[in-house]
Amino acid sequence: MTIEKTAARLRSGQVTSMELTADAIAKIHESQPGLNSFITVTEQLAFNQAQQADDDFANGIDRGPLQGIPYALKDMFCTKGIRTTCGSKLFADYIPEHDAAVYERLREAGAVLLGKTGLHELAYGITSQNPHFGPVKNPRDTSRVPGGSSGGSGAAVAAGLVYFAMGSDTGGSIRLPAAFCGCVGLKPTSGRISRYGTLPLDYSLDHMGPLTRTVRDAAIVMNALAGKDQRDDTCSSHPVEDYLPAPGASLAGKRLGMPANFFNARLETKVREAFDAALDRIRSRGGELVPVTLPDPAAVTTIGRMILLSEASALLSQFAHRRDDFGGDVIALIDQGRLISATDYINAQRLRRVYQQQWAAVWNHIDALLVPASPNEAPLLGEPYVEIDGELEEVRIASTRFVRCFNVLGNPALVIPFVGAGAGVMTGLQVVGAPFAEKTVLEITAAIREE
Amino acid sequence: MAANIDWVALAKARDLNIPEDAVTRIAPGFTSLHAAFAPLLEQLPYTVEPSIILSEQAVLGE
Repeated sequence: MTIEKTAARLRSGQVTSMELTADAIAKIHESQPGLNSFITVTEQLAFNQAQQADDDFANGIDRGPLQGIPYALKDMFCTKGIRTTCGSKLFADYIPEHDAAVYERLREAGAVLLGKTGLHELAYGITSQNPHFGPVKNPRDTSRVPGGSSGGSGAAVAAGLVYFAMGSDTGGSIRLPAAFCGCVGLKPTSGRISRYGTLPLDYSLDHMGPLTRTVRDAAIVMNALAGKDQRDDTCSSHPVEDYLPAPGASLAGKRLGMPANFFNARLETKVREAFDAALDRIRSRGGELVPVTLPDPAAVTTIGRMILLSEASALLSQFAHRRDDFGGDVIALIDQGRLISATDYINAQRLRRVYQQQWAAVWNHIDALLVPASPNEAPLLGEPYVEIDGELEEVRIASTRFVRCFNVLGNPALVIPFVGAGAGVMTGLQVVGAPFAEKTVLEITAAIREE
Repeated sequence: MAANIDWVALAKARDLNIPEDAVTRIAPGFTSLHAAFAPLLEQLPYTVEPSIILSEQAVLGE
């Protein structure tokens, strides 16, 4: 059931928010031993918010399509009076005295918070195998990772525990869980959604966005969240739109870029076949596929790694003496960042501008770019490497290869499960647009999915 | 060039308090990253400024 259909049922009196909430809470408790998708379940708060939503409906107050809809927040969005751990021992007992902007806006929209979802420690990794709060499992195949860092959000949405969940994405952390778990994940343009009140991983690469069951639901959440927030210096005043695609949106006349370099190389065979099948399906539905040579995505990815290592280490270095309080993978990344010179960091940010300028021209010729979300399917639990084209590659490096560059460039990027003959392959299709072209990306993706 | 950097010595010289075995473990991957990064600097135009925002609010001390 989608947000859109449930919103209609709430308004027609077929169901109440209290009923939806009770059902969702029961499902969460039932699933928790197997999936471990939540760190905290806010049961009493959820029932209070659900009752408020039902009372508002009864009194003729309608706050929009999210009123009464149960959802979850990744446990890095601050919630006043509710523990916010960031999946870390450092914040295991942290109870914020303020709310994240995202939570404020969702509360104003009448949505019902069910709890805080599990994540990779400090949002710094892509497996969500958390040493402090336990591993999150993938509901499609519990022998595989759910992706990360927003693994709990992806698992909760894909398992049908919540109608949507919020995540953060610094190098693929919304899009990889969506790809691996089989749901929709949107990383909006840099500055489109406020970062205020989040426990950051990074200053210039963090993005907030929704994970949902459908593209149209992602648009509904965007409508509630997009817009200027004076408390976040990087939050944009670019005009917001109604992001909901028109029903029956078409691919006819859309120029869709297919990669002539980088994103078509070094893929697992099943992923390559699924991507080709998706392109066939898109072509058959009227989309015009245009080969595009992209300005050195490998370089952009390298620049992104330098920036992330530097900025995350600047943030976390004050805790670096507490080495035993970090998982081994996270402290190794912090160590690397501390070895990067200020000169290299600043030059990485200068190179970033060079490539942002080069990529700006790409969008003059196409409406959106189509690439795989990752070169590999969801990795098996505990596997440090994936094998691609006969070569072993570290899971984190391989899995982020096709997503990280859009954090550096800032473009909106949306991941959906593969369509056509490749449906079921455990990664997805990534649709990327020009800066602030979320509406175009959502329309094209809704048309691809025939929503 | 990057391949010649002694990360263990560098960590010691900068007094980073990173255990030597930890630096040794991360060195191969970190060296590869630097090897990919260093050539990019050769094409960096002198006048390009960093892609970092200095906000009006920060200037005003808000």
